[in-house]
Amino acid sequence: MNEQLLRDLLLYLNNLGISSRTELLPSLLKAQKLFGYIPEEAIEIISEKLGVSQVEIYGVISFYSLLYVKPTADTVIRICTSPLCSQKGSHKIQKALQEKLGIKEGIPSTDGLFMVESVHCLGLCAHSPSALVNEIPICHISENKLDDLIEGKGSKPLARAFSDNPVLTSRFGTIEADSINDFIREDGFKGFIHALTLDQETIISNVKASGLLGRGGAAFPTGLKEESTAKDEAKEVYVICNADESEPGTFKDRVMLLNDPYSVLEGMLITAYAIGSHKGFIYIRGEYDQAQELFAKVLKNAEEKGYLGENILNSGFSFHVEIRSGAGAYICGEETALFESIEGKRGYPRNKPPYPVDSGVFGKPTDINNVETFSYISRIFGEKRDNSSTRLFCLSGDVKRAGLYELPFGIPLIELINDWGGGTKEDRKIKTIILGGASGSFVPEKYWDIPLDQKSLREAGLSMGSGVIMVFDETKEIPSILNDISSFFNHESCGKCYPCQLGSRKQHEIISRIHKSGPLPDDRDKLLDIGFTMKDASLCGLGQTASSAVLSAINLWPELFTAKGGPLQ
Amino acid sequence: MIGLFIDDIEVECDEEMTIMKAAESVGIEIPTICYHEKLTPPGLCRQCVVEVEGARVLLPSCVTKVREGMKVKTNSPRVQRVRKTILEMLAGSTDLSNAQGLQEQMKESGADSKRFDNSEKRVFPIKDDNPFYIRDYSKCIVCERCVQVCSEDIQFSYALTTSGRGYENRISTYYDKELPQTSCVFCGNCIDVCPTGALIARKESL
Amino acid sequence: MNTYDRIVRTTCPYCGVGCQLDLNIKDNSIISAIAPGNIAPNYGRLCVKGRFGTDFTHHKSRLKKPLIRKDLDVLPRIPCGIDGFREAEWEEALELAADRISNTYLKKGSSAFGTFCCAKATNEDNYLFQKFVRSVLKTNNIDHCARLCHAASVAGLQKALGSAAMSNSIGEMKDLELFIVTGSNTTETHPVISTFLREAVVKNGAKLIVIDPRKIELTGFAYLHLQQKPGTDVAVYQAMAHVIIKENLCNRDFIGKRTEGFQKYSETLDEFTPQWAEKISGVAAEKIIEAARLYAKAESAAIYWGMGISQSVHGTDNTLSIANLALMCGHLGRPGTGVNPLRGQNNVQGCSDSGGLPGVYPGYQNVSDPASKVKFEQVWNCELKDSAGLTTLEMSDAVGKGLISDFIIMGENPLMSEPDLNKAQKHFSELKNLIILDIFLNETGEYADIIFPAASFAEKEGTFTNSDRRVQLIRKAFDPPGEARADWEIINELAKRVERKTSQSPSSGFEFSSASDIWDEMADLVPAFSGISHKRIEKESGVHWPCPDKQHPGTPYLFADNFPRGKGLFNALTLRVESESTSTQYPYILSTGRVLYHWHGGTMTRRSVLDEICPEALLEMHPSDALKEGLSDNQMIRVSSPRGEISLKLKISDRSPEGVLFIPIHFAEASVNKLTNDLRDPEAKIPDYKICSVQVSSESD
Repeated sequence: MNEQLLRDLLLYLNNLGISSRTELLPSLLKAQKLFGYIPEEAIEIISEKLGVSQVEIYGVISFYSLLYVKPTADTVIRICTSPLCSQKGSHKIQKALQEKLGIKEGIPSTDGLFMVESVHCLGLCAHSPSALVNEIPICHISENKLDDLIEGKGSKPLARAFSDNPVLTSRFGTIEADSINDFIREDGFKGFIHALTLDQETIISNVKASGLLGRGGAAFPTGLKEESTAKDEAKEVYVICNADESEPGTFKDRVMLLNDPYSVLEGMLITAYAIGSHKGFIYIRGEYDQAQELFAKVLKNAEEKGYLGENILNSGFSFHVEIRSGAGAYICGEETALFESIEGKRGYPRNKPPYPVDSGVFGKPTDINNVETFSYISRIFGEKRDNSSTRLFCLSGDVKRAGLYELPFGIPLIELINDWGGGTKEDRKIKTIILGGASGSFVPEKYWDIPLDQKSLREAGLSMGSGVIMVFDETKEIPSILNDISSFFNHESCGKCYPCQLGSRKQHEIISRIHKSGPLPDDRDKLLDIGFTMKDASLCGLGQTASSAVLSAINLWPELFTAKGGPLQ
Repeated sequence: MIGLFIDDIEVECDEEMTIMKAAESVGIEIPTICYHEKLTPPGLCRQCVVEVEGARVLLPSCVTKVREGMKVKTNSPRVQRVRKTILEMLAGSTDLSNAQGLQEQMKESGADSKRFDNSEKRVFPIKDDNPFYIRDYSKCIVCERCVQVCSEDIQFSYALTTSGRGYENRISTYYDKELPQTSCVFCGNCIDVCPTGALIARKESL
Repeated sequence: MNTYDRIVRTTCPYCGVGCQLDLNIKDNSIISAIAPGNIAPNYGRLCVKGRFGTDFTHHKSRLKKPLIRKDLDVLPRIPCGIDGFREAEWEEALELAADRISNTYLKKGSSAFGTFCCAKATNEDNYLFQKFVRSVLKTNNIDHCARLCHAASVAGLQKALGSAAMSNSIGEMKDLELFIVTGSNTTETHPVISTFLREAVVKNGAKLIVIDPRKIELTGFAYLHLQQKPGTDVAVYQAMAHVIIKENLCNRDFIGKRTEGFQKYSETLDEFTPQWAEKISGVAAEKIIEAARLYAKAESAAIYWGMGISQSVHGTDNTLSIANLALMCGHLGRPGTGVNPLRGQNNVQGCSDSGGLPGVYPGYQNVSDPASKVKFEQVWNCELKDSAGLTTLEMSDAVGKGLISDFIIMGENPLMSEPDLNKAQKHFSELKNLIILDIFLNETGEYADIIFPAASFAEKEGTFTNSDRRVQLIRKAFDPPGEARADWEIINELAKRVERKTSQSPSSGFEFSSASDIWDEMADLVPAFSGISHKRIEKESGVHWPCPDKQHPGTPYLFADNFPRGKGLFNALTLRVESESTSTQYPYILSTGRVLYHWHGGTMTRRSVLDEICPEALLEMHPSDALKEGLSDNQMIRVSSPRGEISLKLKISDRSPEGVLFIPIHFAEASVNKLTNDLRDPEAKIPDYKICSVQVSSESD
């Protein structure tokens, strides 16, 4: 045991403002960084300092993929195996890498230098297959460039967006992301300053009038959330920005945070002012190291310039924001699981009601929104007010120009793919399209020209979710795609409720068998029972949507699930 | 007092009541696995879900409060399908041979205990590390009652946790140590609430 | 899956919490014990002893036939194992015992008898035992181990309030707002109560102040820990009172309406400043001030204590200093308030209630009160003594002086529990006649002439009264082993024979055919029990006394409107320092106490599966002391005091402060009472178990 590192940890813990359970995840991440894992001695110190029992800490560590109770390695290489990267061969690359290093998945090399493991989606879907070498994202990895990968070399993700009338992405490329002066020059904080002149009811009614719907997936009216949170007599209310982007196919939060982070902060400020909150969190997923670092600078700069902290711009309004890092758990993007995570617990979603606006983080009313939503709030009060007619789309898969698009609602799906995305590579036929990510569903061919707006999609029984469009060309096989999706949920189910805990495993077992050797006679019925049980009875949105793709596939391609066609490739 | 309909029966009850309790008040018993009178309902087994008119998904009756005019079906085809499937998946994951209550529920719902037989079961060696009781986690359905009892619903001893994630969720001690090396005080209150016989007093197991 | 022949609801035979238990019985054997649902006082909770520790009832060494000492009348008697006895038929043993008792009675008179009734036996056993002692043996020399545990709490609370029981109920604990735990390692001694206390902290946000020299488990839940030096409790509490008065935080309204002597008392507090107390107790003055403010400002605040307060040469003062605090803040007579001595044994409350004390008849009716005496004389058809008898240790002294020659002991084990055991053993070896009723041959039994095999809690009917005055039933789950009988049945027989042999007529009444009938006789004589019957308890699962009539609901918390003595009385105190002090030869303070897995003299728990997890005594010593002495974990250590020495393993731990050692009381092979001294509180006559001076050395030296 390295005594110096233990002293460093102790110093960190002693410097914490409040020694309570909410500091648990940050403390564990700190220990993970210091030691490369979390040794028993560290747990004991943390337990003592934060007043959390050792066994609970152990339970928390075991829940999060980025926390380890056993030593890892100097270099940890995480290969993305989510559907998009997997379809582009990431499994094979991982296997080759492991062979090259002579190690097995998840087990560090004997010299402690390397460890390889798979990870489910890195938000680099426009650049798949991708990997993370320690904290460094590497794009377009390949079996031919393993040496580069081991050294952390390779192409870095481009953070840009495509649009012909950018609102949300208007500052992309025109400002240095961390420069508060650049931001202000480009009309930054104008919305917030304007909001400070309004009373709280007016701000909320403006947000309501804008018609803005949450951009995280659930599409709940943002103004209504604000209203319900503000209505509460309780003085202690929280604003949380959900930047735990982990849905396969989604990368808009990462790009937004890397290009225009101040706009997100501005949206949080306006919201906090409107609902009377003095404390906010931005929960950024653990794999987004760069975004976390950048946002830390943003907060520091904003505070120095008087846009954050006590008595902001001499308005009498005070607001503080804390960055919380995720630790490798897709489920923490679910709002109540995110609260639990901030509170220092396993990321188990809560039964709802109570809803966050009544009882959110620490049991207090909480207004939680997605990155894009907050950024948009800043526009409502800035130059381009009342404009909520564009949104961000994450286009990925077998298209010529995968990436982030800011386009008006109602753009037909196929137009987005062909006109903006340049169509498929080598102009292959499209095999299928998935809307909404791993938790979304396959789009029947008859809807490929559907206008991408809430109403049309709802009528077609589809959902845009967080704006994900994944395109698969004719070289891809449905069972293989399904296998990647069911594998994802098998790995990411939190396991709290039975339908999802058991269903995500049983579903994956069956899909994986169908993929390998074809269906058995009762597979289809089993998948339907499992799927509807998950959809109808799971505790949270993850479980309720973890069978969407499978159910839609059974509907579209029943022959794939009927035992007679022999093994499928 | 408010009024609602449960299986077409008009029920009057306190507005703070859960659907489960309201149903109980008119003699309708809703099956459940994780719910226990002594403990905070975690609402995780979803066996007690009911169909509420207007709701998108089925709702857990153990934690969902009644509402004026609510129309509840406690045993609709949707509900039946879910209950049966959950039990079948449980039977395909865990040794339920000592879980009397669950066996009765399986019979009741017509669940086929062998339906998921060719699926990977959770099998573990028996933990026999103390003079008082035995832990056979092959019989554990991770209802987490024991964890609740050991932590903040009864005992505040903090010897147990759920570790892992998803299907790999397990009941574990700190670093999976033997019980005498943990903060366990052998109150055995966890045994009282274990629904499957995964925790069993030594003398009971003989 | 097990099916049982029957499930028997009963009351746990261990500590004073009085948990309700369901014994699952198959083939007349306890297969398991579980906690019945939502029933007071444990509300579905149990601890390891209740759940797993009832297996002592089936232990192979249970006594199954009456035993008569082989070398009867050879003095001084030497302790012997089972081989020193011969088995006898009941008739022979009863006749022999009655003859010996009658002989002494006729030759030496009543004052030659000493008797111990039993805090483990039922109210009915104890009522009948004391009736036998008072009406047939005509002596008030009756006492029990309450003398050795809460006598000082009783003395203090009687003086201040006129009642000594725990004032508030266990059911209130989870809703506490603020509470003080002092001199009680509740987690180990009253495990189920400690769960409610922790629940109050964790779930209800209650503030807990621990005032204790040891870092007990509850300090992990505490808002404040005042770690006073052993024996300095009065300094801390007086200083708290000083602060409360100085800062005008007392409850003037309550003081005015419900108390007396406040003015006089408050004038005595000037010198007891927190700074002064800091010097005496080692507790920082600021902490004392903060604790005082928290306690006084709370809407409701309760105080719980155990042996750390009472087992002291100034235990009565300790109790009074607590009572003073509660009175000045008005923290009495409402839910979540009160003064609460946590009783250590399953029926220590009931044994006292049933008259197992030298100065009072059942229901605390004074033997010197003529009206009470007449009442009992009428019902018992006899003449009674009007002077209080001797207390436990006074009886032991009287044996040493040759004044007491005969001892009758029901279920107690004084040769484990009395202080300065070497002296006590010597006294017992000189007795002329020692008759014992017990379920095992224990350390005291080894000195006996005749031992009657008794039924355990699982083999008879009756009631136990728990720490919060709740009278609850025990029920027969199976027959006693061999020819063992319930204590009350044995007393019935013995008393009748002694009456006959000493020509006492008419009989005082020993023809009881059930425990329920015995209770009814007692309930007629004790106003606080009048509304309680076995039948009613059967229906309600338990009733809190006082319960004066059948319609009365029972009394979960006391003192709502007044105190038994009328007004609460403030008592001025001085700091007393009579405890044995350390010296260069004996540089450590030794405190004794309990551990979770064992109970008292260990008669039951050492014959249970409990002994497997905790098979030996450990000496707890602070790491700095161990370093200084060059001792290491698990080493065998010799600990000696001016009175004796024992050997046991070392466990280095910072639970006790530097200079203070801790040894548990349960282990006969390392009987810590060989080291303790019998210095006593002048009023309560309780010994100073928590402080004696000792030295340590490695056994290999």
